[in-house]
Amino acid sequence: KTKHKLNSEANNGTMVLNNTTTGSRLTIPLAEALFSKNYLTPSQLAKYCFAIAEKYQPQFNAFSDIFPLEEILAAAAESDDRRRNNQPLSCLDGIPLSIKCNISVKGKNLSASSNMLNDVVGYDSSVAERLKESGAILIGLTNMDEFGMGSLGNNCNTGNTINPLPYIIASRSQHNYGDIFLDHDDLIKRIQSLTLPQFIDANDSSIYSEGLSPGGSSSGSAVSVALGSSLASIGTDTGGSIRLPAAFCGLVGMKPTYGAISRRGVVSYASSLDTVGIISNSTKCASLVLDILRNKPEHALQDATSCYIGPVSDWTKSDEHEDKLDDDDDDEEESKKILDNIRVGIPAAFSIEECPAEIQHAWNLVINQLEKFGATVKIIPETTISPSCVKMTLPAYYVLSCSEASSNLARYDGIRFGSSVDHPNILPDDGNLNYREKNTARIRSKNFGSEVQRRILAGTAVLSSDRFHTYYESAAAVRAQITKEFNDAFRISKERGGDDDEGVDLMLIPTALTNPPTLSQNGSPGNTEAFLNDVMTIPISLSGLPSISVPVRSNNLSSGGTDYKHSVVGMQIFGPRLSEETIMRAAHAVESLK
Amino acid sequence: MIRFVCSSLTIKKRLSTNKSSYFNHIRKKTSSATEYNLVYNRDSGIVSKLISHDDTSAQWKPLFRSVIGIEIHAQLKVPTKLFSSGPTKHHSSYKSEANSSASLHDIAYPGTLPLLSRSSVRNAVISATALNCTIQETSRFERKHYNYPDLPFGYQVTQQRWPLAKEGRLICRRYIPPPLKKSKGKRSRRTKEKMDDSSSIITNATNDDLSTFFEVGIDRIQLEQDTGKTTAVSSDGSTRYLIDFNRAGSTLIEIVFKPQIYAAHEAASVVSTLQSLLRYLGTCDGKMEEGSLRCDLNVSVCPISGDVDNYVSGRDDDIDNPFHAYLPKGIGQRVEVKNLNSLKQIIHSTEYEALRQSTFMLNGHPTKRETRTFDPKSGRTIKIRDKDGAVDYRFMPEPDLPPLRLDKHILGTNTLQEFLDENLPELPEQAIRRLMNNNGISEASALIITSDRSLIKFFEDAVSTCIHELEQRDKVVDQKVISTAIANWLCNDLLALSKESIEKEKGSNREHDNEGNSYYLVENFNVDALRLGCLVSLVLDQTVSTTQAKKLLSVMYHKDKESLPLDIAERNGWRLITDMETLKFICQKVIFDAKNEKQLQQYKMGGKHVQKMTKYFTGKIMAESGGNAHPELMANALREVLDEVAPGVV
Repeated sequence: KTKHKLNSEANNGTMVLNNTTTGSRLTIPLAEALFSKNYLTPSQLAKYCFAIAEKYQPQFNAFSDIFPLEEILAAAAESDDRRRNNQPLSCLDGIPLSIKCNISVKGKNLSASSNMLNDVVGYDSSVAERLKESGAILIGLTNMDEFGMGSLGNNCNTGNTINPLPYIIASRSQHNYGDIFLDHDDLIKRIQSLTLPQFIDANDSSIYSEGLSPGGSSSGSAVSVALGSSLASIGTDTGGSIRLPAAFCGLVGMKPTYGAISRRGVVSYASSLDTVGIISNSTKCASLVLDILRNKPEHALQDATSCYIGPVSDWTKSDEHEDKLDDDDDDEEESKKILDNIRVGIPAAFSIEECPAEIQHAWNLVINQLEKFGATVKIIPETTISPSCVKMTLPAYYVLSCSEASSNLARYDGIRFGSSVDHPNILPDDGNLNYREKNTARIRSKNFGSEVQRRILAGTAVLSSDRFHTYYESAAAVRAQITKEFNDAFRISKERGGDDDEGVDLMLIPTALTNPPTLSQNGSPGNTEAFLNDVMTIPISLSGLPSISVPVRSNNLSSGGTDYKHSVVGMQIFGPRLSEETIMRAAHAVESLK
Repeated sequence: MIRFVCSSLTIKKRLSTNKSSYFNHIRKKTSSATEYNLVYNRDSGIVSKLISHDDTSAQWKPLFRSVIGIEIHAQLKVPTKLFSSGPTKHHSSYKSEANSSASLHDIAYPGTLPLLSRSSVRNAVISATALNCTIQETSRFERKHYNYPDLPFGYQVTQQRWPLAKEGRLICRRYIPPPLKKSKGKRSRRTKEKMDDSSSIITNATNDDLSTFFEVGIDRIQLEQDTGKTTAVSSDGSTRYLIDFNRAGSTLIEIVFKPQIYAAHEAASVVSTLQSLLRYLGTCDGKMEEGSLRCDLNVSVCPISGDVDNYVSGRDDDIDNPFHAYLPKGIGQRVEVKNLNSLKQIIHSTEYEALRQSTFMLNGHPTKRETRTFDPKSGRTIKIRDKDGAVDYRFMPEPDLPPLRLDKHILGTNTLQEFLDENLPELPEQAIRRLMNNNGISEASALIITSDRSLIKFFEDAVSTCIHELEQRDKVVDQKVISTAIANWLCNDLLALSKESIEKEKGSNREHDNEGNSYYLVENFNVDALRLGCLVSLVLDQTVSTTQAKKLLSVMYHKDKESLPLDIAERNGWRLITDMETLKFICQKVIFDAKNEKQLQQYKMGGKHVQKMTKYFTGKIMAESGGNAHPELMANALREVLDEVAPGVV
């Protein structure tokens, strides 16, 4: 009987990536259930996650810092006591998590994967404070594109982060199980005996000779969750930096409304866009973590750009809905109610020619699924959201983000941050500079990576007084326009069922239009190819809207193939500001797609 | 290097007082500039040229006048930084040791974010309202980028395009140089070297033909961050630069005056008036020597009309200059002199620039737009950079801060008006007028009392106490008499005691008067308003004499810091005798005392002895009364008694 109950809970995080193997990945609700039944202790789980992190660090480079085992176990021991006494601090008590290394944690290197910050010691950010209060166990800090600049995970001061998904999928077919467990007994046994998932070695040329990008900039966060070294990871999303890696690694990536989670303690890249979010195995996991991290009125104001979203995980407690989801095959009629009265819009402006057939197919699958759960799906015409405006968002994003980046990174002048340089000739011609300026130029040239330098220079250029009006102000106008067009498309009244209001509650578009590109040793793939993916995520970022990327199995694996390409694609569901709860419900429905 | 003649007095006065030495002075002080013999008048702002002279007279031709714009950075008196909880020097936990009071945000530590200080905004709103500005319900922050080690973020957060307040004005009291120092009864000529910095303001409008007040427009007031401080340390031939971030992020308001200032002393008037206004409001401590109030000047010279076309003026054709419309025709390009931190520096740099720019205009090579700094040692300005070297500040909206809306969250009240009603005090000029008109006190006293709000409160409390005391004793005294008496006792006697004890404590240091105004700090008085009010009531109802009251005040100030004056007087037996019978009794006792027989006989002889002996008896009687006899009544009593003893002598 107990077993059945547990399986039911486990299925809340159901994720099926391959027809040949069905089973589950470890989710936060399942871990909680195992803790509460004393089948598993936080210490055992923490040890297991730490072991995975250590084992796969050389191959995939997910972490910039894996915390010392003693430290992890000390925290876990406290969690053990609380769990044993049935007094957990929160649903995250004892849950192993990881944090992107641009989010400050007391005593840890706040590096943002940049050599400029090699010596910077962190303090507790809002995120770290919330997590520590919640009793979560921090496994380590994850690698990223330097300062968040990049979408491939290849602008990192410790080398590329590698996408493990192809190895995971290949392992599933070859080893019977890799990361997926068959039932909870299997899972408990594996965790307690530290039987780690076996992935195919990177040197096995039968898979890929070169690594695939996990997406960026929260590359390490996605990889750490994909490998199972953390049950969720806190990342940041400026133009897609959570959603893209989640999509490339087959995970859920949640970017809430701009300001919903305080940025206090997050190294700034582009202040008006930087958003803290979550990468996890399931929508439910993301909801639980978001509920812990979101700003709440009872806390002191953390930063001036904070906003308050309501509770987002209440729906996870409603067993009624879960039962319907779990049994949707049997009870289609009832399952429809979960998205009853929800209108989902498909903006025609995002349906572009370059969209590959597999992605179009996944898009249609999700539309059917949403309709099955009671949602009404309609096309948003190009007169409401115009393709010309959407196209302009990409350059507008680069103007604005580079401007803000050049400003935010101006503080790294070589006096307080960055190791000194002994390169007298690092600059070809610095004859006009005084001693201090030369020093600053040299330290910045040495410690910033090439992409960061490119964006700083671009930002500095567009902010100059003779370009400000033509570039910055035009970009700001595009931003205002796309925000207006989105808002025009959304239902104005929160009262459901107003027939005279044509607006939608949510919109659905793909997260990315390409496969994860290959990371060659010699250089990065063409920048324009990377930019093509950004066009799906950037307009939403510019408008500060909440958005989630959910993994959807595409059709080419239904034949049982092991080809990674398009085996799983990310679909994005987004809504108006503060609509996280609705988004989560819809995403959960999509997740149950089989 | 060209040097210029600097004169603080009008030419006319100089010529009439000390002609020959004056010309020697010119010859000595001007080397290569003697070819033009230019003199600057600090009061009128006119640059004149010596046309001809002999030993008794000289002819001067006015050529140019100075036009000045001022930007003042005032550090607000708030306990924390503009955007962080880091302590300022006004916080009890502030430590002055370098970098010990800087918070993580103050040094731009990664991940720290700004949170706007409400008290900074409130102080800025009060200051701007007192400066007659229009307060903007919504203003915005921007980043102004430049690279300097003591600017931790690489940008300053300011309000360039959407300032907190616009279009104000300041009514300035004219600055006059401090009175000439007396030396051994002879007035010594004030020389440039001896010029000190004590400020004084004209207390009546009789000084030449300049009126007491003039008005200067204010373009805008904006909130912004202060920087850290860089100190150069030289040793072994190399220089190291040390940076202290304690000040970084402190709240400044920048007050931009329109170029409606035309003379060095007018510039000083603007700054000193503003200084006392902000001090009065309590929004800024005004300490220029500590950098709480800093000043940037824009100086240009303009040919006096009629002569405009005679000069290649290098006219200010900068169309971006927001003040283009205010500038007179033919004006030269402006020169900015940065970071002046005393009235003396303001006066000297204005004068130096006026003469320097005039010389170059006469040369036919007018000066170009540039930024300079003032070197107090040489008394000259030194070029920092010219227009070509101007920094592109790359202004950008501050993305970490939403627009500043003066709402309930910021102000604590429902409306701006409500906030001002609750928080804006009576302004000093209003208070001066009220004290003069309603209370009948002199302008000089009113100026002193209104230098500090706590002093006004002290004055008013003392007056109330005094009225109350007199009513209790059924004495009717005109209220203006009471006010005047309190004002005199406060401004003359009590402040003198305060000044004396402070000078004794800290050594004779004029700076306290000039900059700190600490004599006027009510906290430094050992006598509170209640005790002063009681004391004055004792004088007014003739319980004690003025002389006794001064003794009382001294005891109250130095020895007995608790007791009421009446108790002290009684303890010491100080009580004025006004009863005629008692006084006559004392007079008789002294006159008929055998010891004074000889003196009485002399008195009876009359003539020259009368006055001498009356004085003698007065002294004896006063001693007999223990100093308590009412002087005039006692004189009357004595006269009566003497008339009885020796009728017909007088």
